[in-house]
Amino acid sequence: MSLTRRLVLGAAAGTLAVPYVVRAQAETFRIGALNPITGAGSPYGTGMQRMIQAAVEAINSAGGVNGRRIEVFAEDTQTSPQAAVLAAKKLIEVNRVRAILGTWSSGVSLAVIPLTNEADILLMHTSGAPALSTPPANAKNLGYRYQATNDRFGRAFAEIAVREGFRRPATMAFNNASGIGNTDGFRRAWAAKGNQNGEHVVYEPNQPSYRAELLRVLSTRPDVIVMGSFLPDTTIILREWFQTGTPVKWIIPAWAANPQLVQALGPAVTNGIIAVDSVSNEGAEAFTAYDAAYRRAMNQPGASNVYAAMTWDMANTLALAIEQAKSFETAAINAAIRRVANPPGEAVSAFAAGKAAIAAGRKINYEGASSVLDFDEFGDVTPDFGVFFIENGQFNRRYVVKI
Amino acid sequence: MIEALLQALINGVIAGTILAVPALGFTAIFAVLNYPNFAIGALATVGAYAGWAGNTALGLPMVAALALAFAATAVAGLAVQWVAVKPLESAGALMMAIASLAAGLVLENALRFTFGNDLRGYDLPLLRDWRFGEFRVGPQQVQNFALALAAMALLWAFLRYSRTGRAMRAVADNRDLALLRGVDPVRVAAVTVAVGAGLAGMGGMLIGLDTSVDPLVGNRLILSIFAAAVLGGLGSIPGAVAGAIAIGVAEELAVLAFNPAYRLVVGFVVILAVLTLRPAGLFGARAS
Repeated sequence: MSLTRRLVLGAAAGTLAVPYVVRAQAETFRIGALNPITGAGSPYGTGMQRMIQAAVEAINSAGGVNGRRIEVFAEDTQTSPQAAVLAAKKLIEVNRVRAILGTWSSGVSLAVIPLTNEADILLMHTSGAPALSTPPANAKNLGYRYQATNDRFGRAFAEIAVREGFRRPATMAFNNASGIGNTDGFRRAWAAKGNQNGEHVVYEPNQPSYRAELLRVLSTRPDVIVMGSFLPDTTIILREWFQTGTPVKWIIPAWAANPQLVQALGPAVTNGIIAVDSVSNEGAEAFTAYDAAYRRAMNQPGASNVYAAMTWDMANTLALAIEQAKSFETAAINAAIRRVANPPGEAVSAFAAGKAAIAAGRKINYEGASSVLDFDEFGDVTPDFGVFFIENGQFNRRYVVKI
Repeated sequence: MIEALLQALINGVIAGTILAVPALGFTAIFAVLNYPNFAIGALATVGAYAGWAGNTALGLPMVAALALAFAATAVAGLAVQWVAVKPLESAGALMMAIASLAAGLVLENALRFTFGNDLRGYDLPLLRDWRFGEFRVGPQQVQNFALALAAMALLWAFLRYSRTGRAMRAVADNRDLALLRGVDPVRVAAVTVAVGAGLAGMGGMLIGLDTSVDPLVGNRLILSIFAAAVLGGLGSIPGAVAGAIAIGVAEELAVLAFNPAYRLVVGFVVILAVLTLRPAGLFGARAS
């Protein structure tokens, strides 16, 4: 059958004749999955994106939100603010998404949030910089953080330092909001416990060597060095430290002290390092569902990617908030997020159950896979922290710290 | 305080000597071809990866891996020259510099595409520093220092005694006169680019040995290389060595005096000061 003008016109007329309701149903609620598929966040990014898609699949098969399906547009931040801004512009201007989910690393989220604010849409992210809580970054309160702030990480570091009996901690921070947030959080919490802070060095990224900075810190003879750092600089610093042969312990955030670090340096250098990460809400029902989805998609346990549990929760809280708001307007959805995520209310762990409860007029409290997910006034959550000791190249979780 | 000062001096001299290797490559290309080749950073990264692959995949010892780094980077350097820079020769030095910058970005991302962003380490045991009283120096640092000195000695012998080396110096000194004497300019240009790029690759590998190999190895170096060459006088071989050692020492000393966050400022300040006060640099007569 050849495509004639008459046929095309007929088809177009036929489409117009389809009742309005049917076309309305075909309309979707569009969201962007903007994740670090490549770059420093690449060990996590693919899993994060898959879990947004998996959660949305479950939401759509439970009937979608307010009768509409959610449609996901996926992009890569390359863990680079410049690339992330381009991708976010495309999501906002071309795909017309109504929320962006899953940015990783503070530099990226700080670069993207002005765009989402400008477009009046939500940004749900996994970044730690304290600056993301307050204006100007969060001027419209449209930013939600599913990860602990760097300041909370710092407080966890201080708890660990006390528990491990350290007395003379020094700090080293990568010169950005995240690195300094970590060490400032530590120093404040450490001083609040009546202790004296030691040497503090803020270093520039992208140096071939950190020997001078390191020797400056080591010359004050600390018993532990608390880091606010990333993987490339941590690798160089630890290598140079090992060469000095100076005995000292390390407390390092887990995005820098991870299996890649062990791979680059070997078990001898990394032995005894304390790696700290927020831990997922592992006893919760939501985590069980997430874990199953993660195993299906990635063939790995869900606990191997704390950020993927966060993006799973992002899709679920957003969908529940839309149901609660009975609206697709950002302001109404934004107003509903704490209402569905925070206590009091009936604890729910999946979209379908939450949707039913909302329809029955009950107040719900979504308990997430990544944490109990109660947002404070800044849109921040308070997860627990796992304390991992690197022993013979293995990450052994010894205990959990609550702050 | 005195100990810290001396320790910084030791580290600075070692770092500067290693930095001198790529700086020599940069300045040699400038001397003969009259443009700053900003692909030198990416070429250093190529060398770091080539040496790493030779060491880990082929099991080569250090000196052989270094030779491989030189050879691979020489080829990459020639490719940059012929594909990106040469077609723009008639457009002037600025266009050639921009072309080399662009080629460098392509090279860096080709490496990223092939090897990923992961950090790689050489298949070498990490050794503890040797201690002399309050001072310390790493065996790896000393080995790299010796290899850098050996590379420079070879370059010096090549320029001084070989026919091609003398032709290169002749072109650098006075291009027209050299051509009148029958020096083949195409051949000299090719050899210069190969040697210059090869030196950058060796420098990249030496830095990678002490730190780690990733697509940004060269990126971390490029400012210091440029500052060293400018300080020594663009196009001056002894100048590049002196400039590199001065930059190495200054960067280490800066950490003692200022907040380490300002360490990278050293390179910029040096470039600014030299260009303002003595544009020819310490040893340069040609730059203007």
